[in-house]
Amino acid sequence: MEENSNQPDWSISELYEKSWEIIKKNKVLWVFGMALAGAGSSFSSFSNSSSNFKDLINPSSSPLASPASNQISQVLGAAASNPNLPDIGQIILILPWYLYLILGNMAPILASIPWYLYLILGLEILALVILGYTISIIYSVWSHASLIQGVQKALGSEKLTIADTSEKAFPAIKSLAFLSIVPSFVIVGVGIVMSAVFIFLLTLGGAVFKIIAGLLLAVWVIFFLLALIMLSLTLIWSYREVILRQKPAMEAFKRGYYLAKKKLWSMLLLGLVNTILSAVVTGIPIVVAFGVVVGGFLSLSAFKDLAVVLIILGTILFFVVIIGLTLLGGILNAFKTSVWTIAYNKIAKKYG
Amino acid sequence: MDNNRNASFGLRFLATITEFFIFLSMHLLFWFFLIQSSSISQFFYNFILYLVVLALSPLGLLHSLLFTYYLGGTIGKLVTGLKVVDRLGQRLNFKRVFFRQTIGYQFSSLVFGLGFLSILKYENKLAWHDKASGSKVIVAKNLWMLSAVLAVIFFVFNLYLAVSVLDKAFTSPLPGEISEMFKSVGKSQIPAEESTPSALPKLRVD
Repeated sequence: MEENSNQPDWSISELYEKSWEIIKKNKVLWVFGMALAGAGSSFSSFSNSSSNFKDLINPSSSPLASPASNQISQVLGAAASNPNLPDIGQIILILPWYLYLILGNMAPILASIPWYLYLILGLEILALVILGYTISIIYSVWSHASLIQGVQKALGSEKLTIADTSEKAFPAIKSLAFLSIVPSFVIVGVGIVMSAVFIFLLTLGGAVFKIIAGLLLAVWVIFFLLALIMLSLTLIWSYREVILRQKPAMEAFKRGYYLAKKKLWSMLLLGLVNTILSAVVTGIPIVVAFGVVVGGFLSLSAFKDLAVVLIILGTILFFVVIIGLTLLGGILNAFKTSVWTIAYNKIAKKYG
Repeated sequence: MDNNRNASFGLRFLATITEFFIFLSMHLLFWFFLIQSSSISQFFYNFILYLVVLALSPLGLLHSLLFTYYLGGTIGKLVTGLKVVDRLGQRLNFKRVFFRQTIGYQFSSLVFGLGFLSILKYENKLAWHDKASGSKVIVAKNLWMLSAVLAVIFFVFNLYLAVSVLDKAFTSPLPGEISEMFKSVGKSQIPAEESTPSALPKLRVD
């Protein structure tokens, strides 16, 4: 794993400055950044029971109403002192048994339903899952491709529009989908098989054999983790090879691996800085809101009025943070994509 | 009014509302018959049927894709006289239709549906999903009055169904049977020494 020991190909501060300039001027990139963030959760939100529910504008979450704090403290105080209400520990212990009893009682009812209805239901759920997964993959790669295309256009000082950027991303969807699924699938598949083999070997033979098998398993786990890291780094460049140089998937993957080997330590450092930035920017607001809510609950017994105010304030803050994080997540995604794209432009020709 | 002009936010919203009421009526009709089940076992049979035929079925997606591809729009758009076409006014290819009706709508739903509201902002009246998929919605025929009438009719019908369902829910014997089932479970909620799975109270099944 070589690295050019002369002048570094990039400096993090330069990448960050340029990226910030691009992101500030091109709000279209924020939109694709939010789409990329949303693509990760699109699988869970996909629903095909009626297409119309997607057509309607999502209702905005309304801020909590603020009832009189006296009323709330009375209710909370009453709840805390009511001996007839079960405590949370009791509920957690009872719940599985309760579910078991309910299902036990419902077994004759469920058994009376024809088997083919269960079969059709199972097939529909399976189809939903597969379709949802497929759509989430396409959504993710399309938004990623659009973001990279948009950044490249912005670097060339071109005007960005959703229509043009999206149009340029379409041809890359198939290759990117291949890159996002197949290499991960292969590595994880091999990882699972090898881990199973080593765990099986652990159950055989005497103590010495077990120790050797255990050591081999530990080495294998480390190797597997390194392979995953290398895959992530490879895909960063591979995606850009597909989108910006229109390379086919396998060729882009090989080239991405070559570049990742060349710039391994620089990439790891840049990735670490990006991660710290994301954690700080997104984590601090969450921690503050969460802290206010937790502080409210902790002071419930001693300072009821203050606790109520803190809980209400913290909950409102939490909702504001969630909404703000949607936008912030988009900007962060666009920023990080821009950083990597500028870095790619710096090394692509040099190691061509 | 000139036809083949880009459809306004109001017309598209009307089409959406009409379509929503039409599909809602199907769900409420099912619930209307569901709540009239004479026993718990019949209720669960009908409920599974509801899941299979409507709630979890691919009918919604198929309607969205096939209607848009072959007829130029979903039911709401058709009765409002709207049509989905590409930028040159031609029929969209199936890949674009699929993208528009699935990923496109999710894209427009970002940040509380900002993508839909962009129809109001821009003169060309394109939502984000239109821009992303290279499509536009035009007024092929002036049928907005028909759509408005259908919306009102289905709204009233849905209201009647909803009230009937709620009324049946409070008067039918089913809620009583279901609460009996939970009560009998509740009486054996903490596992005592003598309480084994084989000693569970049996529910009366029709």
